[in-house]
Amino acid sequence: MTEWFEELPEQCPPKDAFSPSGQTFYRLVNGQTLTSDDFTSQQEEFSWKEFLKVDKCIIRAVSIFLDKADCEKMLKFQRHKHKNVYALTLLEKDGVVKQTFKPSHHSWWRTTNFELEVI
Amino acid sequence: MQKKLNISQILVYYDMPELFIATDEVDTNYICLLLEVDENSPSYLSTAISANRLSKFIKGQIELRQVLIEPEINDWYSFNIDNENIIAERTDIQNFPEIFLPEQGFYLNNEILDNSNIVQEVVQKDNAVVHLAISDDKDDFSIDTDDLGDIVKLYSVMLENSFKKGLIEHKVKEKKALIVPMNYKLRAFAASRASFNIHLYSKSQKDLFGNCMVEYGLEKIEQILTEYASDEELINSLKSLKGHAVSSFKKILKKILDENLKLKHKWFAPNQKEVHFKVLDTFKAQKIYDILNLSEELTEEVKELTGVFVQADVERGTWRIKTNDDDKEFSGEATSEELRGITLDTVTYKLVCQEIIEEFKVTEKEKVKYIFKSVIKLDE
Repeated sequence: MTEWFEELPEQCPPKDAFSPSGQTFYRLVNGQTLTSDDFTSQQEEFSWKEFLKVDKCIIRAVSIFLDKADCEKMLKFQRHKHKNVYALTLLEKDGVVKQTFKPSHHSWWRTTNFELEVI
Repeated sequence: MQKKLNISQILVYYDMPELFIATDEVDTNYICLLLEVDENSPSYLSTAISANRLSKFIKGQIELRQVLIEPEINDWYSFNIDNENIIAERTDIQNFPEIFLPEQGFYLNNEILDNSNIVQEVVQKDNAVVHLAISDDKDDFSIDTDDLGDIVKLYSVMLENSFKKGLIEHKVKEKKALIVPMNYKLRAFAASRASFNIHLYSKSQKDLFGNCMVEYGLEKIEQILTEYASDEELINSLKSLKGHAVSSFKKILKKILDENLKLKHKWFAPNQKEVHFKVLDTFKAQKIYDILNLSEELTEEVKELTGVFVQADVERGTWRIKTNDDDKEFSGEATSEELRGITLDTVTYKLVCQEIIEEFKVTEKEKVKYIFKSVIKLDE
């Protein structure tokens, strides 16, 4: 049985999310030393009750980009400008992903099997 | 001074909405930027933005920094999000604070090169917009009303059927609840020159990322109007629409060929990065029409019905079956031979038949006909 890193609502992840098979995705991380916190959703971090009207399932996912340039574009925002772009190769054991926004943006529902060493 | 805002569309998302559009009670658009996140909640700063400027921002013609440095009205509203409602408070700041200004060069999209006002219409309608331009050999920005009526009706049917195919292809959950007219019907709201160009908008369901349900259909239409390098690629594309969608497309092709018409199909939706545009002229129509004539099965919609026959008339070649799932009755035609030996009322059959939709004039409803193909006895 899949063990999700975060507690997920019912019917989450969505059925049409797919298991990655070695694709490289990009995410912004703080500093050079990676921690698990770099790969947690905002819901996990702040435990807000509701967040606008964003799907409860999506807010419990981690944002990743398939296109490096799209991830780098986020560095233009002041709150991200000191972060670094990291490439991560995701495997089936790491969870499931779904394209959720503009073509390159994906939501990633992480399992407890994801290991930082794979980066 | 307070404003109650409603989130309309998220433009940039990274773990949470970074940049979004909200509207107030009188439908004025506000562009809202996430400033920082503290332990309690994220805080945003927003300012009003006109539809014209917003469409320029979406088209990649102005950058975010410029939108914030030179607001159209120098009124700023700040808010935190700690529940579903946004209550924005007017702040006394004179300018957007430098420490939160995004760096230079943040364009929402690569520049969208399109001279029409379709992006602005999408902003105004907050949903997908289609421009359907029709011209004939006169090419004088006018069109025969019969041709206009026929093309619009056939296009409408094709969009409906393409939408249904799109839902299946994308494995959308709870499909039945989504197959409602608002998700595939369009409304005409304007016309312009450049052939006779009718502007249509959708009122389909839309999520916060700007994805409109009607796009499932528009993307399929875009797909079959694409130029393919080989006939095989085109056939594969048509296969994904097999059935009613291809059947209605074939009728459009025939209309274009019979009346020497040209069709231009342009569409845009809030989540799109480009304006989609395809032309269907007689040359292209003939090529696709010939392929469809060689692959009749592409236009065939096969339907499986499981239930009991309540009537089977061998002499007239007619039948009625009541399905087990929803207790609905379907009736159709068959040969006498096919109906011979059918047991009524007590035996469950799986009937495979061809579903044919006959479209009538614009205002009339379509008639569905079922042609018997095969039957298997399931139980007694």
